[in-house]
Amino acid sequence: MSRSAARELDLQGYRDSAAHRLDPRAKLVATAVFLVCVVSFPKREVLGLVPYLALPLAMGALGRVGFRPVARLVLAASPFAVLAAAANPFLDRQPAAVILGVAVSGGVLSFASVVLRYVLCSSALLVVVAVTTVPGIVRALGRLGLPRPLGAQLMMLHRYLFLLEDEGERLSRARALREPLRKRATLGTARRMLSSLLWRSFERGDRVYQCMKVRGFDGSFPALSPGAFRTSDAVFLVGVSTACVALRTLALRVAS
Amino acid sequence: MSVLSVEGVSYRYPDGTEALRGVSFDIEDGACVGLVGPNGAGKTTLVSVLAGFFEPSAGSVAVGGVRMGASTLAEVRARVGFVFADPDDQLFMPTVLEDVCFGPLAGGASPEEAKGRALELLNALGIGALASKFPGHLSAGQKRLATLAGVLVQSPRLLVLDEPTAFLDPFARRDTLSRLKGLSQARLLVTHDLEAVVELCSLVLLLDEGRVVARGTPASVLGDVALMSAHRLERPHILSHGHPHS
Ligand SMILES: Nc1ncnc2c1ncn2[C@@H]1O[C@H](COP(=O)(O)OP(=O)(O)O)[C@@H](O)[C@H]1O
Ligand SMILES: [Mg+2]
Repeated sequence: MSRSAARELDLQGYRDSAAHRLDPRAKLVATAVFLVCVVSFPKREVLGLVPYLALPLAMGALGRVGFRPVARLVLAASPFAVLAAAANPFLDRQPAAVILGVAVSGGVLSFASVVLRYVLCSSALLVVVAVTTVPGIVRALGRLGLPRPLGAQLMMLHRYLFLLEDEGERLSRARALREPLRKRATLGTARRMLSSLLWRSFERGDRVYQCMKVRGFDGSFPALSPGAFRTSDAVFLVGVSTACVALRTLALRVAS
Repeated sequence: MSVLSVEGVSYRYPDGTEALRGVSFDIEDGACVGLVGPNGAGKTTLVSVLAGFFEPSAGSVAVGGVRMGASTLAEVRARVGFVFADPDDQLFMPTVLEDVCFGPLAGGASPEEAKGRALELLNALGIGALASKFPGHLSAGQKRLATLAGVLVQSPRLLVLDEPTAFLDPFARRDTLSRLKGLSQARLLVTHDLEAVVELCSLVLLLDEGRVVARGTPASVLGDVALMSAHRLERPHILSHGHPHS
Protein backbone atom coordinates (compact mmCIF):
# COMPACT_ATOMS: atom_id res chain seq x y z
CA MET A 1 0.00 0.00 0.00
CA SER A 2 1.34 3.42 -0.86
CA ARG A 3 1.68 6.13 1.69
CA SER A 4 -1.41 8.27 1.99
CA ALA A 5 -1.38 11.61 0.20
CA ALA A 6 -1.73 13.36 3.56
CA ARG A 7 1.37 11.67 4.94
CA GLU A 8 3.31 12.38 1.77
CA LEU A 9 2.47 16.06 1.99
CA ASP A 10 3.30 16.12 5.68
CA LEU A 11 6.75 14.70 5.02
CA GLN A 12 7.50 17.15 2.24
CA GLY A 13 7.64 19.86 4.88
CA TYR A 14 10.98 18.45 6.07
CA ARG A 15 12.74 19.12 2.80
CA ASP A 16 14.79 22.16 2.10
CA SER A 17 14.10 24.81 -0.53
CA ALA A 18 13.73 28.56 -0.87
CA ALA A 19 10.03 28.16 -0.05
CA HIS A 20 10.79 26.02 3.01
CA ARG A 21 13.31 28.55 4.30
CA LEU A 22 10.82 31.44 4.34
CA ASP A 23 9.67 32.43 7.82
CA PRO A 24 6.45 30.51 8.56
CA ARG A 25 4.85 33.74 9.78
CA ALA A 26 5.41 35.37 6.40
CA LYS A 27 3.87 32.36 4.65
CA LEU A 28 0.89 32.30 7.00
CA VAL A 29 0.05 35.98 6.75
CA ALA A 30 0.52 35.98 2.97
CA THR A 31 -1.81 32.99 2.72
CA ALA A 32 -4.37 34.75 4.90
CA VAL A 33 -4.31 37.79 2.60
CA PHE A 34 -4.67 35.45 -0.39
CA LEU A 35 -7.69 33.71 1.17
CA VAL A 36 -9.42 36.96 2.10
CA CYS A 37 -8.96 38.31 -1.45
CA VAL A 38 -10.24 35.13 -3.07
CA VAL A 39 -13.27 34.88 -0.80
CA SER A 40 -14.19 38.56 -1.16
CA PHE A 41 -14.88 38.41 -4.91
CA PRO A 42 -18.51 38.84 -6.04
CA LYS A 43 -20.42 35.58 -6.22
CA ARG A 44 -20.37 35.17 -10.03
CA GLU A 45 -16.72 36.05 -10.53
CA VAL A 46 -14.71 33.47 -12.47
CA LEU A 47 -12.17 35.17 -14.72
CA GLY A 48 -10.88 37.48 -11.99
CA LEU A 49 -10.07 34.44 -9.85
CA VAL A 50 -7.99 32.61 -12.43
CA PRO A 51 -4.75 34.61 -11.95
CA TYR A 52 -4.74 33.58 -8.28
CA LEU A 53 -3.86 30.06 -9.35
CA ALA A 54 -0.35 31.43 -9.83
CA LEU A 55 0.34 31.56 -6.08
CA PRO A 56 -0.14 27.87 -5.17
CA LEU A 57 1.52 26.90 -8.45
CA ALA A 58 4.56 29.13 -7.92
CA MET A 59 4.88 28.22 -4.27
CA GLY A 60 4.55 24.53 -5.13
CA ALA A 61 7.17 24.80 -7.85
CA LEU A 62 9.56 26.74 -5.63
CA GLY A 63 9.20 24.17 -2.86
CA ARG A 64 9.19 21.23 -5.31
CA VAL A 65 5.90 20.06 -3.82
CA GLY A 66 4.51 17.01 -5.58
CA PHE A 67 1.48 17.87 -7.70
CA ARG A 68 -0.20 14.52 -7.12
CA PRO A 69 -0.65 14.49 -3.35
CA VAL A 70 -2.06 18.03 -3.46
CA ALA A 71 -4.40 17.14 -6.31
CA ARG A 72 -5.52 13.97 -4.56
CA LEU A 73 -6.34 15.77 -1.33
CA VAL A 74 -8.13 18.61 -3.14
CA LEU A 75 -10.17 16.04 -5.04
CA ALA A 76 -10.89 14.01 -1.92
CA ALA A 77 -12.79 16.85 -0.29
CA SER A 78 -14.22 18.33 -3.51
CA PRO A 79 -17.60 16.58 -3.29
CA PHE A 80 -18.45 18.91 -0.41
CA ALA A 81 -17.72 22.01 -2.50
CA VAL A 82 -19.53 20.64 -5.54
CA LEU A 83 -22.52 19.66 -3.44
CA ALA A 84 -22.65 23.07 -1.79
CA ALA A 85 -22.83 24.77 -5.18
CA ALA A 86 -24.78 22.15 -7.13
CA ALA A 87 -28.15 23.85 -6.80
CA ASN A 88 -26.95 27.20 -8.22
CA PRO A 89 -27.35 26.42 -11.95
CA PHE A 90 -30.96 25.37 -11.32
CA LEU A 91 -31.93 28.30 -9.13
CA ASP A 92 -30.43 31.07 -11.24
CA ARG A 93 -31.12 30.58 -14.95
CA GLN A 94 -30.87 34.18 -16.10
CA PRO A 95 -28.20 34.56 -18.80
CA ALA A 96 -25.45 36.59 -17.19
CA ALA A 97 -22.57 36.51 -19.64
CA VAL A 98 -21.63 35.43 -23.11
CA ILE A 99 -18.53 33.26 -23.29
CA LEU A 100 -17.22 32.23 -26.74
CA GLY A 101 -20.61 33.02 -28.23
CA VAL A 102 -22.59 30.94 -25.72
CA ALA A 103 -24.91 32.57 -23.22
CA VAL A 104 -24.09 31.38 -19.71
CA SER A 105 -26.54 31.65 -16.85
CA GLY A 106 -25.69 33.32 -13.54
CA GLY A 107 -26.16 29.97 -11.80
CA VAL A 108 -23.51 28.26 -13.88
CA LEU A 109 -21.11 31.13 -13.26
CA SER A 110 -21.60 31.05 -9.52
CA PHE A 111 -21.22 27.27 -9.52
CA ALA A 112 -17.89 27.58 -11.37
CA SER A 113 -16.89 30.37 -9.01
CA VAL A 114 -17.50 28.30 -5.86
CA VAL A 115 -15.59 25.34 -7.22
CA LEU A 116 -12.69 27.50 -8.35
CA ARG A 117 -12.54 29.25 -4.98
CA TYR A 118 -12.52 25.90 -3.25
CA VAL A 119 -9.62 24.70 -5.41
CA LEU A 120 -7.69 27.92 -4.82
CA CYS A 121 -8.13 27.99 -1.05
CA SER A 122 -7.53 24.30 -0.42
CA SER A 123 -4.51 24.02 -2.69
CA ALA A 124 -2.95 27.17 -1.21
CA LEU A 125 -3.36 25.80 2.33
CA LEU A 126 -2.01 22.37 1.38
CA VAL A 127 1.02 23.87 -0.35
CA VAL A 128 1.78 26.00 2.69
CA VAL A 129 1.69 22.88 4.88
CA ALA A 130 3.95 21.09 2.43
CA VAL A 131 6.60 23.84 2.60
CA THR A 132 6.28 24.58 6.32
CA THR A 133 5.27 21.41 8.27
CA VAL A 134 2.37 21.43 10.69
CA PRO A 135 4.60 21.99 13.74
CA GLY A 136 6.17 24.94 11.92
CA ILE A 137 2.73 26.43 11.28
CA VAL A 138 1.60 25.86 14.84
CA ARG A 139 4.73 27.58 16.16
CA ALA A 140 4.23 30.50 13.83
CA LEU A 141 0.64 30.79 15.04
CA GLY A 142 2.00 30.80 18.58
CA ARG A 143 4.35 33.67 17.75
CA LEU A 144 1.45 35.49 16.15
CA GLY A 145 -0.50 35.21 19.40
CA LEU A 146 -2.22 31.80 19.44
CA PRO A 147 -2.53 30.70 23.11
CA ARG A 148 0.04 28.03 24.04
CA PRO A 149 -2.40 25.31 25.21
CA LEU A 150 -4.24 25.58 21.90
CA GLY A 151 -0.96 25.22 20.01
CA ALA A 152 -0.03 22.13 22.04
CA GLN A 153 -3.48 20.67 21.27
CA LEU A 154 -2.93 21.18 17.55
CA MET A 155 0.49 19.51 17.72
CA MET A 156 -0.94 16.51 19.56
CA LEU A 157 -3.87 16.27 17.17
CA HIS A 158 -1.45 16.24 14.23
CA ARG A 159 0.60 13.47 15.80
CA TYR A 160 -2.42 11.40 16.83
CA LEU A 161 -3.97 11.59 13.38
CA PHE A 162 -0.94 9.83 11.97
CA LEU A 163 -0.87 7.33 14.82
CA LEU A 164 -4.46 6.52 13.94
CA GLU A 165 -3.50 6.08 10.32
CA ASP A 166 -0.56 3.83 11.27
CA GLU A 167 -2.69 1.59 13.42
CA GLY A 168 -5.40 1.48 10.78
CA GLU A 169 -2.91 0.42 8.16
CA ARG A 170 -1.50 -2.34 10.39
CA LEU A 171 -4.97 -3.63 11.11
CA SER A 172 -6.06 -3.67 7.50
CA ARG A 173 -2.85 -5.42 6.46
CA ALA A 174 -3.33 -8.02 9.16
CA ARG A 175 -6.86 -8.64 7.94
CA ALA A 176 -5.87 -8.81 4.28
CA LEU A 177 -3.16 -11.38 5.03
CA ARG A 178 -5.54 -13.61 6.93
CA GLU A 179 -8.36 -13.32 4.42
CA PRO A 180 -6.43 -13.29 1.16
CA LEU A 181 -9.45 -14.20 -0.93
CA ARG A 182 -11.64 -11.38 0.28
CA LYS A 183 -10.78 -7.95 -1.08
CA ARG A 184 -12.79 -5.96 1.40
CA ALA A 185 -13.69 -6.62 4.99
CA THR A 186 -17.31 -7.66 5.58
CA LEU A 187 -19.40 -5.17 7.50
CA GLY A 188 -19.16 -7.23 10.69
CA THR A 189 -15.40 -7.48 10.48
CA ALA A 190 -15.10 -3.80 9.65
CA ARG A 191 -17.15 -2.90 12.70
CA ARG A 192 -15.00 -4.96 15.01
CA MET A 193 -11.83 -3.65 13.37
CA LEU A 194 -12.99 -0.11 13.99
CA SER A 195 -13.45 -0.67 17.70
CA SER A 196 -10.08 -2.40 17.84
CA LEU A 197 -8.56 0.52 15.94
CA LEU A 198 -9.89 3.07 18.40
CA TRP A 199 -8.70 1.04 21.35
CA ARG A 200 -5.22 0.51 19.90
CA SER A 201 -4.82 4.14 18.94
CA PHE A 202 -5.91 5.17 22.40
CA GLU A 203 -3.32 2.89 24.04
CA ARG A 204 -0.60 3.95 21.63
CA GLY A 205 -1.46 7.60 22.19
CA ASP A 206 -1.17 7.00 25.91
CA ARG A 207 2.28 5.40 25.49
CA VAL A 208 3.46 8.32 23.40
CA TYR A 209 2.15 10.80 25.94
CA GLN A 210 3.84 8.93 28.80
CA CYS A 211 7.13 8.90 26.88
CA MET A 212 6.81 12.65 26.45
CA LYS A 213 6.07 13.18 30.11
CA VAL A 214 9.17 11.33 31.33
CA ARG A 215 11.24 13.58 29.15
CA GLY A 216 9.81 16.67 30.79
CA PHE A 217 6.84 17.56 28.54
CA ASP A 218 4.86 20.33 30.23
CA GLY A 219 2.49 21.31 27.48
CA SER A 220 4.83 23.26 25.27
CA PHE A 221 6.92 22.33 22.27
CA PRO A 222 10.07 24.41 22.63
CA ALA A 223 11.51 25.64 19.36
CA LEU A 224 15.21 25.22 18.77
CA SER A 225 15.80 28.29 16.66
CA PRO A 226 12.91 30.73 16.73
CA GLY A 227 14.37 32.23 13.55
CA ALA A 228 14.50 35.89 12.69
CA PHE A 229 12.24 37.62 10.22
CA ARG A 230 14.64 38.42 7.37
CA THR A 231 14.47 40.86 4.51
CA SER A 232 13.60 38.05 2.10
CA ASP A 233 10.59 37.16 4.28
CA ALA A 234 9.41 40.75 4.25
CA VAL A 235 9.87 40.98 0.47
CA PHE A 236 7.87 37.78 0.01
CA LEU A 237 5.08 38.91 2.31
CA VAL A 238 4.77 42.39 0.83
CA GLY A 239 5.08 41.06 -2.74
CA VAL A 240 2.42 38.39 -2.42
CA SER A 241 0.01 40.59 -0.45
CA THR A 242 0.35 43.47 -2.90
CA ALA A 243 -0.21 41.16 -5.86
CA CYS A 244 -3.31 39.63 -4.27
CA VAL A 245 -4.84 42.97 -3.35
CA ALA A 246 -3.94 44.49 -6.74
CA LEU A 247 -5.60 41.63 -8.61
CA ARG A 248 -8.66 42.13 -6.47
CA THR A 249 -8.94 45.91 -7.05
CA LEU A 250 -8.12 45.51 -10.73
CA ALA A 251 -11.03 43.09 -11.08
CA LEU A 252 -13.28 45.71 -9.46
CA ARG A 253 -12.33 48.26 -12.12
CA VAL A 254 -13.01 45.86 -14.96
CA ALA A 255 -16.40 45.00 -13.52
CA SER A 256 -17.50 48.58 -13.04
CA MET B 1 26.02 4.47 47.15
CA SER B 2 23.03 3.04 45.35
CA VAL B 3 21.42 5.07 42.59
CA LEU B 4 18.24 3.07 42.57
CA SER B 5 16.70 1.35 45.49
CA VAL B 6 13.53 -0.69 45.04
CA GLU B 7 12.02 -2.01 48.26
CA GLY B 8 9.19 -4.48 48.49
CA VAL B 9 7.36 -3.11 45.45
CA SER B 10 4.02 -4.70 44.58
CA TYR B 11 1.64 -3.72 41.85
CA ARG B 12 -1.84 -4.92 41.09
CA TYR B 13 -3.63 -3.99 37.85
CA PRO B 14 -7.18 -2.69 38.14
CA ASP B 15 -8.44 -6.07 36.84
CA GLY B 16 -6.82 -7.81 39.81
CA THR B 17 -3.68 -9.21 38.13
CA GLU B 18 -0.82 -9.22 40.63
CA ALA B 19 1.99 -8.25 38.30
CA LEU B 20 4.62 -7.45 40.98
CA ARG B 21 4.83 -9.09 44.41
CA GLY B 22 7.41 -7.61 46.75
CA VAL B 23 10.27 -6.85 44.38
CA SER B 24 13.46 -5.55 46.04
CA PHE B 25 16.87 -4.72 44.59
CA ASP B 26 19.50 -1.98 44.50
CA ILE B 27 21.65 -0.65 41.69
CA GLU B 28 25.05 0.81 42.59
CA ASP B 29 26.52 3.85 40.87
CA GLY B 30 27.91 2.92 37.47
CA ALA B 31 26.75 -0.70 37.62
CA CYS B 32 24.91 -2.47 34.84
CA VAL B 33 22.15 -4.77 36.06
CA GLY B 34 20.22 -7.15 33.84
CA LEU B 35 16.54 -7.86 34.42
CA VAL B 36 15.37 -11.01 32.68
CA GLY B 37 12.31 -13.19 32.83
CA PRO B 38 9.79 -14.96 30.61
CA ASN B 39 6.86 -13.16 28.99
CA GLY B 40 4.39 -11.96 31.56
CA ALA B 41 6.97 -11.98 34.37
CA GLY B 42 6.29 -8.33 35.19
CA LYS B 43 9.26 -6.61 33.54
CA THR B 44 7.29 -3.97 31.67
CA THR B 45 5.16 -3.35 34.75
CA LEU B 46 8.30 -2.75 36.79
CA VAL B 47 9.62 -0.27 34.22
CA SER B 48 6.27 1.53 34.33
CA VAL B 49 6.50 1.77 38.12
CA LEU B 50 10.06 3.14 37.85
CA ALA B 51 8.88 5.72 35.32
CA GLY B 52 6.10 6.79 37.67
CA PHE B 53 3.29 5.71 35.34
CA PHE B 54 1.96 3.36 38.00
CA GLU B 55 2.01 3.92 41.73
CA PRO B 56 3.06 0.78 43.60
CA SER B 57 0.35 -0.68 45.83
CA ALA B 58 3.06 -1.48 48.40
CA GLY B 59 6.76 -0.72 48.83
CA SER B 60 8.83 2.20 47.63
CA VAL B 61 11.24 3.34 44.96
CA ALA B 62 14.07 5.80 45.63
CA VAL B 63 16.43 7.34 43.11
CA GLY B 64 19.66 8.87 44.42
CA GLY B 65 18.17 8.81 47.91
CA VAL B 66 15.00 10.68 46.88
CA ARG B 67 11.87 8.67 47.47
CA MET B 68 9.51 8.67 44.55
CA GLY B 69 6.11 10.22 45.14
CA ALA B 70 3.72 12.72 43.63
CA SER B 71 5.74 15.68 44.88
CA THR B 72 9.17 14.34 43.83
CA LEU B 73 8.18 12.79 40.50
CA ALA B 74 9.65 15.54 38.32
CA GLU B 75 12.90 15.55 40.29
CA VAL B 76 13.22 11.77 40.10
CA ARG B 77 12.45 11.66 36.40
CA ALA B 78 15.13 14.23 35.72
CA ARG B 79 17.72 11.77 37.10
CA VAL B 80 16.56 8.71 35.21
CA GLY B 81 16.66 8.23 31.47
CA PHE B 82 14.14 5.83 29.97
CA VAL B 83 14.61 4.15 26.63
CA PHE B 84 11.36 2.39 25.73
CA ALA B 85 10.98 -0.64 23.54
CA ASP B 86 9.33 1.10 20.58
CA PRO B 87 11.41 4.08 19.39
CA ASP B 88 8.43 5.37 17.42
CA ASP B 89 6.65 6.04 20.69
CA GLN B 90 9.58 8.05 21.94
CA LEU B 91 10.64 10.20 19.00
CA PHE B 92 8.02 12.88 18.56
CA MET B 93 9.69 16.07 17.42
CA PRO B 94 9.93 17.02 13.73
CA THR B 95 13.69 16.45 13.42
CA VAL B 96 16.25 14.29 15.21
CA LEU B 97 18.09 17.35 16.51
CA GLU B 98 14.92 18.93 17.88
CA ASP B 99 13.97 15.65 19.47
CA VAL B 100 17.29 15.37 21.27
CA CYS B 101 17.02 19.02 22.32
CA PHE B 102 13.51 18.55 23.67
CA GLY B 103 14.53 17.47 27.18
CA PRO B 104 17.15 20.18 27.77
CA LEU B 105 14.84 22.90 26.40
CA ALA B 106 11.96 21.68 28.54
CA GLY B 107 14.39 21.76 31.47
CA GLY B 108 15.20 25.41 30.80
CA ALA B 109 18.47 25.22 28.84
CA SER B 110 19.10 27.94 26.25
CA PRO B 111 18.70 26.90 22.60
CA GLU B 112 22.45 27.28 21.91
CA GLU B 113 23.37 25.19 24.92
CA ALA B 114 20.80 22.51 24.07
CA LYS B 115 21.92 22.39 20.45
CA GLY B 116 25.59 22.18 21.40
CA ARG B 117 25.03 19.32 23.79
CA ALA B 118 22.75 17.49 21.37
CA LEU B 119 25.14 17.73 18.42
CA GLU B 120 28.05 16.61 20.56
CA LEU B 121 26.12 13.52 21.62
CA LEU B 122 24.80 12.73 18.15
CA ASN B 123 28.36 12.91 16.84
CA ALA B 124 29.64 10.73 19.66
CA LEU B 125 26.99 8.15 18.77
CA GLY B 126 27.96 8.36 15.12
CA ILE B 127 24.65 9.81 13.87
CA GLY B 128 25.57 13.49 13.65
CA ALA B 129 24.75 13.45 9.95
CA LEU B 130 21.11 12.60 10.74
CA ALA B 131 20.49 15.71 12.85
CA SER B 132 18.11 17.41 10.42
CA LYS B 133 16.29 14.24 9.37
CA PHE B 134 12.70 13.34 10.16
CA PRO B 135 12.90 10.63 12.86
CA GLY B 136 10.27 8.50 11.11
CA HIS B 137 12.66 8.04 8.19
CA LEU B 138 15.53 6.47 10.13
CA SER B 139 16.41 2.79 10.24
CA ALA B 140 15.64 0.82 13.40
CA GLY B 141 19.26 1.05 14.55
CA GLN B 142 19.43 4.77 13.91
CA LYS B 143 16.15 5.30 15.75
CA ARG B 144 17.54 3.40 18.70
CA LEU B 145 20.64 5.59 18.83
CA ALA B 146 18.49 8.72 18.44
CA THR B 147 16.33 7.75 21.44
CA LEU B 148 19.51 7.02 23.38
CA ALA B 149 20.87 10.47 22.51
CA GLY B 150 17.60 12.09 23.60
CA VAL B 151 17.99 10.45 26.99
CA LEU B 152 21.76 10.82 27.50
CA VAL B 153 21.59 14.54 26.72
CA GLN B 154 19.91 15.04 30.07
CA SER B 155 22.88 13.47 31.89
CA PRO B 156 20.84 10.96 33.87
CA ARG B 157 22.46 9.03 36.70
CA LEU B 158 20.53 5.93 35.78
CA LEU B 159 19.39 4.54 32.46
CA VAL B 160 16.45 2.17 32.21
CA LEU B 161 16.51 0.34 28.90
CA ASP B 162 13.52 -1.76 27.85
CA GLU B 163 14.56 -4.21 25.11
CA PRO B 164 17.21 -1.92 23.61
CA THR B 165 18.25 -4.51 21.02
CA ALA B 166 14.75 -5.39 19.79
CA PHE B 167 14.23 -4.94 16.01
CA LEU B 168 17.95 -4.43 15.38
CA ASP B 169 19.99 -6.30 12.79
CA PRO B 170 23.19 -7.97 14.04
CA PHE B 171 25.39 -5.04 13.13
CA ALA B 172 23.15 -2.41 14.71
CA ARG B 173 22.77 -4.63 17.77
CA ARG B 174 26.53 -4.93 18.18
CA ASP B 175 26.95 -1.19 17.69
CA THR B 176 24.26 -0.38 20.27
CA LEU B 177 25.68 -2.85 22.77
CA SER B 178 29.20 -1.51 22.52
CA ARG B 179 27.90 2.03 23.04
CA LEU B 180 25.89 0.94 26.07
CA LYS B 181 28.95 -0.85 27.41
CA GLY B 182 30.99 2.34 27.23
CA LEU B 183 28.60 4.39 29.37
CA SER B 184 29.53 5.42 32.88
CA GLN B 185 25.96 5.72 34.17
CA ALA B 186 24.22 2.99 36.13
CA ARG B 187 22.06 0.92 33.78
CA LEU B 188 19.08 -1.37 34.19
CA LEU B 189 18.89 -3.54 31.12
CA VAL B 190 15.48 -5.20 30.69
CA THR B 191 15.72 -7.74 27.92
CA HIS B 192 15.26 -11.16 26.39
CA ASP B 193 18.70 -10.79 24.82
CA LEU B 194 20.53 -12.92 27.38
CA GLU B 195 23.82 -12.81 25.50
CA ALA B 196 23.75 -9.03 25.83
CA VAL B 197 23.23 -9.42 29.57
CA VAL B 198 26.26 -11.70 29.84
CA GLU B 199 28.36 -9.19 27.98
CA LEU B 200 27.28 -6.03 29.78
CA CYS B 201 26.00 -6.82 33.23
CA SER B 202 27.70 -7.60 36.50
CA LEU B 203 24.47 -8.59 38.20
CA VAL B 204 21.34 -10.34 36.92
CA LEU B 205 17.87 -10.42 38.41
CA LEU B 206 15.56 -13.20 37.29
CA LEU B 207 11.94 -12.15 37.56
CA ASP B 208 9.01 -14.54 37.29
CA GLU B 209 5.38 -14.17 38.32
CA GLY B 210 6.15 -10.80 39.82
CA ARG B 211 8.94 -12.01 42.12
CA VAL B 212 12.74 -11.89 41.94
CA VAL B 213 13.39 -15.64 41.96
CA ALA B 214 17.17 -15.51 41.55
CA ARG B 215 19.97 -12.96 41.59
CA GLY B 216 23.72 -13.17 41.05
CA THR B 217 26.39 -12.96 38.40
CA PRO B 218 25.33 -13.74 34.83
CA ALA B 219 27.33 -16.97 34.92
CA SER B 220 25.69 -18.19 38.11
CA VAL B 221 22.10 -17.32 37.16
CA LEU B 222 21.96 -17.64 33.38
CA GLY B 223 24.38 -20.58 33.43
CA ASP B 224 22.12 -22.62 35.71
CA VAL B 225 20.33 -24.84 33.21
CA ALA B 226 17.80 -26.21 35.70
CA LEU B 227 16.91 -22.75 37.00
CA MET B 228 16.62 -21.36 33.52
CA SER B 229 14.33 -24.05 32.19
CA ALA B 230 12.20 -23.90 35.35
CA HIS B 231 11.45 -20.31 34.33
CA ARG B 232 10.98 -20.92 30.62
CA LEU B 233 14.35 -19.46 29.62
CA GLU B 234 17.42 -20.88 27.90
CA ARG B 235 21.02 -20.80 28.93
CA PRO B 236 22.78 -18.41 26.51
CA HIS B 237 25.34 -20.00 24.15
CA ILE B 238 27.92 -17.43 25.03
CA LEU B 239 28.31 -19.08 28.44
CA SER B 240 29.29 -22.43 26.95
CA HIS B 241 31.84 -20.91 24.54
CA GLY B 242 33.19 -18.58 27.18
CA HIS B 243 33.57 -15.76 24.67
CA PRO B 244 31.14 -13.55 22.77
CA HIS B 245 30.28 -14.25 19.15
CA SER B 246 32.16 -11.74 17.08
N1 LIG C 1 -2.92 -3.34 31.43
C1 LIG C 1 -2.94 -4.52 32.04
N2 LIG C 1 -4.04 -4.92 32.71
C2 LIG C 1 -4.07 -6.11 33.34
N3 LIG C 1 -3.05 -6.98 33.39
C3 LIG C 1 -1.92 -6.65 32.75
C4 LIG C 1 -1.81 -5.40 32.04
N4 LIG C 1 -0.57 -5.35 31.50
C5 LIG C 1 0.06 -6.49 31.86
N5 LIG C 1 -0.75 -7.28 32.61
C6 LIG C 1 -0.40 -8.58 33.21
O1 LIG C 1 0.63 -8.36 34.17
C7 LIG C 1 1.59 -9.41 34.11
C8 LIG C 1 2.96 -8.85 33.84
O2 LIG C 1 2.99 -8.27 32.56
P1 LIG C 1 4.24 -7.52 31.96
O3 LIG C 1 4.77 -6.59 32.98
O4 LIG C 1 3.83 -6.93 30.66
O5 LIG C 1 5.27 -8.71 31.71
P2 LIG C 1 6.60 -8.77 30.83
O6 LIG C 1 6.92 -7.39 30.39
O7 LIG C 1 7.62 -9.36 31.73
O8 LIG C 1 6.33 -9.67 29.68
C9 LIG C 1 1.10 -10.39 33.04
O9 LIG C 1 0.40 -11.41 33.69
C10 LIG C 1 0.16 -9.56 32.21
O10 LIG C 1 -0.84 -10.35 31.66
MG1 LIG D 1 7.19 -6.66 28.39
